[in-house]
Amino acid sequence: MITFLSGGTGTPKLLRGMQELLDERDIAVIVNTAEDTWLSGNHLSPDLDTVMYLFAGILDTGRWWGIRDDTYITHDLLARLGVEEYIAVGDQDRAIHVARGEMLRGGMRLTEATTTLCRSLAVRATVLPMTDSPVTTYVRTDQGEIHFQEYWVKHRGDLAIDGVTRRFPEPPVATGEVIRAIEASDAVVIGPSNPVTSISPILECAGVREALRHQNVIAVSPFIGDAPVSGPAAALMRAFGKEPSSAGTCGLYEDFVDIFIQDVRDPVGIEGALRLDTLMVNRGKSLDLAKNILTLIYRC
Amino acid sequence: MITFLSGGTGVPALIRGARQILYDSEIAVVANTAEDLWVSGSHCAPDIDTAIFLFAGILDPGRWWGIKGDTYATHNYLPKVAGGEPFVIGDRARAVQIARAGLLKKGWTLTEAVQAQSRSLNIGATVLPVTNGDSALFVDTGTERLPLFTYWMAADAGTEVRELVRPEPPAVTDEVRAAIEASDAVVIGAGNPARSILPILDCAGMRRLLRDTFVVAVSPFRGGSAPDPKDAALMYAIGETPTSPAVFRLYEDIIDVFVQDLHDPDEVPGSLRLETRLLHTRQAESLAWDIMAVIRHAVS
Repeated sequence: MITFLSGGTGTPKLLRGMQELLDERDIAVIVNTAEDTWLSGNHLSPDLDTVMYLFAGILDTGRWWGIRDDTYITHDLLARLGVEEYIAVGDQDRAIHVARGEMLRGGMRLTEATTTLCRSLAVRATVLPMTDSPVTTYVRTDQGEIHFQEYWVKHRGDLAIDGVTRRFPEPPVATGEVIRAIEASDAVVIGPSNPVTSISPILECAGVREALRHQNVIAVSPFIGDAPVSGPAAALMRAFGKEPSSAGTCGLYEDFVDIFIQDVRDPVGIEGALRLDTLMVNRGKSLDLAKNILTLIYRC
Repeated sequence: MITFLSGGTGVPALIRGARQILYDSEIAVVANTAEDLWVSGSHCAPDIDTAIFLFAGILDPGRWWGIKGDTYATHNYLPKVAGGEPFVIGDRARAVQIARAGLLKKGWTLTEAVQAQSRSLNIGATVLPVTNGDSALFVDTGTERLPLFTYWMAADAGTEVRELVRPEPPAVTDEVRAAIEASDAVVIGAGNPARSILPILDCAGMRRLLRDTFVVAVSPFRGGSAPDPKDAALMYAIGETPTSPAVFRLYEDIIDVFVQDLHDPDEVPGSLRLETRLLHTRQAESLAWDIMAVIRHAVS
């Protein structure tokens, strides 16, 4: 089994390749939940949904979120009623939010709710939220702290930010399922997801870094030079006090990473790093990178 | 102005007829809230929504609830991923419920929320919940307690109704008081007393308010023809029969004119006999016309 740490679209693109090479039952994905929020009365968990929808074969792979061919009847009427949902929630997508919201209101853990949803969607991979307790990434702007999703989706990252904070009622602790998945794996792979908003929240869950130190960990940098392959990583890295580059990324992972992969085009030199084509612009590129990583793990 | 006490599907049909005679701005509707419930994280208020949809011109006229031409993407997807919902909710109706839930969670009263929704849907009539308090009714079936609306929509016709469980009656709002005091007359439409009308009359202050007003009530029962089994079960649950004399007794202290069907074999002395079956728009208009004539004659 291989365990992946996922958030945003970077790791999911790698999972798209892995999915074709591995039996899905040999894939576990630990997913960032620091972008979760209650929206319109129900539970939005963008990173969990992307991974679930990917394995269920219903992901809109044009945007890498939401359900393919969804409709937006409720969302559109809400706007006319003066309720702006900052993200376009599709009608089927909303059913997932409602189902999860109901399960959480009923006292279920997020891990159990996710397992239930995965079973209904015929997902055979193991999809695990990093923690069962709420934790939320906020970014500091000159208008105060705002939810990361609001910064990225509503403002499209077009706001100056000078800090990243995590808010939680109690410090997040990795679930038993997460720790066991890491321990039972042949290796752990950190895909090219945003280090600040997607991967760090997972690493900050008590128990994760410790477990990773005892594991064979392969990490893929999301940066080429000082620009991320996609998304708002550069500004966030600076706000997080890190250099927006592969070097900064490697620094965040240095206490546990065994193999650090950076793109062949990356001008930043890191000693000992492996150079691969990490730009997963299509299915074939995802497959190539996945093959290379599996070769590293199983040496064949 | 004329105020209608409304709940179920019998009264909206009459209100539709009254709209042919009165301007919307001359109509106030005091809606039953005993069937309100939270479902799927949003606020379902069937009698309020029916009134709002009617005046907005979007009511499904076949069922007398819901929005015409609505779709059911979320509702239909839910059973695939979780338990599903106890009754059908359209995608557009859901938007209305989500928007109201958002206002209630912000601390608005139900009256304020309904007024805001009436404005955003450009409604000329005044639609008011009878109370801002908790007035939800539950049906005790002997094995479980079902919210009244869930019983009505989803329970088997043969489900036993042992008791209608009601909270301590909340108070009518100042807005309802003002509407009734400003009205020439109040019309109690042909709603089931147990399900739709008594929950309004039981609100603290309501009966006294009506004693000082000219009130016309229409019986929902026509003797001879068997009433809907659930309509009958709810009446028996409050210790009454589903007949006009029973309805008359329940309203006796507050009404001036009691209207019963031409063909009703159960005689109520002094009642006004009219055709009360509203199968066509013209029948509704005709009944509304006759009631308005009575009111004009009495209050002029």
